[in-house]
Amino acid sequence: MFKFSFLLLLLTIPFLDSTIYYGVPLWVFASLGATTLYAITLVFVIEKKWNKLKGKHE
Amino acid sequence: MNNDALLSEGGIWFLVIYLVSLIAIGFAGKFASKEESLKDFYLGGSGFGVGVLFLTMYATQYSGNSLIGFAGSAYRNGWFFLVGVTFMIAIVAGYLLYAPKLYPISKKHNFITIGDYINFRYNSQLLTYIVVGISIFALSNYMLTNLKAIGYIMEYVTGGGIGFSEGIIFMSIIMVIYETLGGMRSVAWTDAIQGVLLFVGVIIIFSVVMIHYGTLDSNTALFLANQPDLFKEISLSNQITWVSVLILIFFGISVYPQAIQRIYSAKNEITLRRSLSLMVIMPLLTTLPLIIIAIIGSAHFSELDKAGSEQIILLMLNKLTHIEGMSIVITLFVAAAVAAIMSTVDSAMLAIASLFTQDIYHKRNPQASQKRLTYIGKLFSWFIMAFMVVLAINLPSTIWWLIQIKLEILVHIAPAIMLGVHYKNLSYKSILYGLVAGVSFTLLFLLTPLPSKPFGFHAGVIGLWINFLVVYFNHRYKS
Repeated sequence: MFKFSFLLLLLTIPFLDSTIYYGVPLWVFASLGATTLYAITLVFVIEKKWNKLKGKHE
Repeated sequence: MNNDALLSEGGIWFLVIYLVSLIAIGFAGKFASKEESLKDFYLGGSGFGVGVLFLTMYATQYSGNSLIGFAGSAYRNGWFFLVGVTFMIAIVAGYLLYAPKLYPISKKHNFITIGDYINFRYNSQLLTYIVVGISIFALSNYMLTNLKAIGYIMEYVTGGGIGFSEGIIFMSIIMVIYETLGGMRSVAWTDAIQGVLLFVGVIIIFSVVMIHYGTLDSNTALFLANQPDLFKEISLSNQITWVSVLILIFFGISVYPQAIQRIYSAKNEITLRRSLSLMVIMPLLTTLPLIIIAIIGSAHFSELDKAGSEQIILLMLNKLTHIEGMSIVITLFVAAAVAAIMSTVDSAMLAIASLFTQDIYHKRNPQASQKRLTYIGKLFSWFIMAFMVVLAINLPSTIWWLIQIKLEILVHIAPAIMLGVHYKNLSYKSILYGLVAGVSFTLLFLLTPLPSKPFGFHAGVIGLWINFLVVYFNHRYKS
């Protein structure tokens, strides 16, 4: 899941054009959407997968 | 106070009461201390719950630069600065690469600084000194830039009643007093107040701007007339810069020594997890509103230069002074800006003092008692603050650029921490060679006429790749 989040991080890169919707360029919606999804994924990782990230120590 | 003062008399009093309350918190931190030891002084006894831990992380990560610099960047770069929201979230992902493993080790071995971990993990004094040296360099930069910012703010809001130098000296004395009284406890508690001020300030200002300047949609015609660049197509070079900034911040800011100290200071794993979860959400509630405010401002106040663009929020609020209650909002903005700066400077100062005391002085004086070490740490705080104040007031602008490269240097300690917690067999030599190669490459591009952004990437980012590659090949072929 944490590895998957890096894919989402890459998806935040602006790819779309700048057609204006509600005063905002289209690529901003896509980028902000990917960023929000990325944030949700990280919260999920922290709350549910922490022990997996912790693994074995010492 | 002259007639050009931005703050009303009531606003000045609010600021004075706020500053006095910080000293009171310093005393509270002192009375709450359990023993005279470095752990108690620099980690607050490692007993912070979710509320304080989250707010101190939040206030520390969002410096004066976040409130003033981010707005200025958004004004100048338009929607492209949306990367600011993404990278502030990505910092938490950077923590996740090492914090889950580092936290239990730090508890078991009573770590206080980043140097403690490096020394424990690699058993190399040389590597520890290099990492500590790079950390102190980066933290000093943080202190200097924020001290300068606080000097300008004090001068601006009092209409020159308090000068630039006086502002820096006055605020520095307050910070160093509460820091040396209660250490991390005082810093974290004052951070908690500063974090609340920052968050409430941003939300209220965002609401005021939306009500009085209109939404993004309602400003579309103005955008097209005054800021058509807001809607220009994104180029490949923009995309490369986006990736480069993300990498730089991801590996750079997530290994800030003061952030690592806050991870050590968590009461338990649950408080750390909850605090990090909240930190993930904050950029959407802090950075994003600031960007939207600045973009709306760019349509109403076009043609500002760099210095002017960093005052965009104040300009927008100043135009609304005829509205009842606006002086309160302006006071709130100033208090939030001052709070953001103070929380960053005090944390950086605490981290520098702990690095010096624990990783340099203590190593050279292993017999020193905890009481003596705490005393030395406090003394060093006064010294470092005095030194930084002198630099902030007198540093010539011709060498000012030198300290702006801190993140591109700091990023090179990331492999030592992030790889160190995951790969048990990784030797200190692999890390050392990688670090030296990465820093050398970065400095070569930053200190010579070579382009500072080869192929569009920051020199520090390419240097980091070289760092990782050297670590990988050295580990693979020498072990």
